[in-house]
Amino acid sequence: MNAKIRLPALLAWVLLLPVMAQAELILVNPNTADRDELQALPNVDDEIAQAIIDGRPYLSAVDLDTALARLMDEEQREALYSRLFRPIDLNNASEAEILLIPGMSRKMAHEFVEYRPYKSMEQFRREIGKYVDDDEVARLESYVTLD
Amino acid sequence: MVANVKRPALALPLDRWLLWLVLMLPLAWMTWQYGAEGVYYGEYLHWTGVQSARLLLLTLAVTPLLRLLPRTAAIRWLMRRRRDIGLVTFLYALAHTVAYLVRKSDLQLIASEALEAGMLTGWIAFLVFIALAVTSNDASVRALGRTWRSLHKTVYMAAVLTYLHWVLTAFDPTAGYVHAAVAVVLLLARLQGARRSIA
Repeated sequence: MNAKIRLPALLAWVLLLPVMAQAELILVNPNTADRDELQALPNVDDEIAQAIIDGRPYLSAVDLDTALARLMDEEQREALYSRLFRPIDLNNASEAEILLIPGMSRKMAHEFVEYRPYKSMEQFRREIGKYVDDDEVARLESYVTLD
Repeated sequence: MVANVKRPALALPLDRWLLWLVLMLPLAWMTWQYGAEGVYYGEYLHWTGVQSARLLLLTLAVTPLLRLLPRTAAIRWLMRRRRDIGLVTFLYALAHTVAYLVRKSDLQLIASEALEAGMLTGWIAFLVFIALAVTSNDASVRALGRTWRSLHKTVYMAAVLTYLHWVLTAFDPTAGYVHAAVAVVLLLARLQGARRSIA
């Protein structure tokens, strides 16, 4: 590759890096994803993709976890939840639901509940941002909704 | 001949007014911000708790500092104003507690949480601080006599409980441990000073 191509390629890569990092945070919704999207996820084969589709609608993350527990072990499910998740309602989710977020500790789950009711995502960002850095807040935010 | 003019009750020395102003303005500002939803519950709770714990360290540091630097004017002034700093410390703790109570606003929930070690230590410390704040005036010093001194020595027990409350309830207890370590050093310095006085 000559320098004329190498430099713009490097520049494009640098510019795209934040976009790619952001893209990683976008989670697939088990209620709406099509078969192809599901099969592109880690640990998901034909059988599991079909089971996800058959189990719809998932009213909570626990519903999804219960359906998948018959086909996947805990480690596989946790890996999957980094790409596929039924978003949880910040103000009403049970502790069991919150604990399904990958990397969630009991202490952090307690903090999620402690600051209810949440009136805005800004409130969530600032309350949880006291404990973890911005990247982690953004990651956690991708798992929650405010209804 | 100097006229014996009685000072009105509210005529406090200027330095005392200034001290109260400087220490209370941040609390007033944060409380107003909290009321206006510019600051959220967890932020207000954390801030009032941390400031209260820091002011408590300052009150505990006064006596050891005076022993170390007996001629320093600033330390002697702090010694004269120690009771005021103690009262302000209590007001920060009160704001912290009231914010918690208002937010929970469910007696059963508050009672059940109070049984957890982290909250129990905080409640006992707060009850001790109420007793200390109520008796932080000249009339109480005269009325209680020697008992007043004994009562106000419980501030050390309340301090230990306060830092335990911080360490046990914090998401990351590191800052709580650091403050607790400083409090232990101050307590040891105080105990050593007391032993020397007896000897």
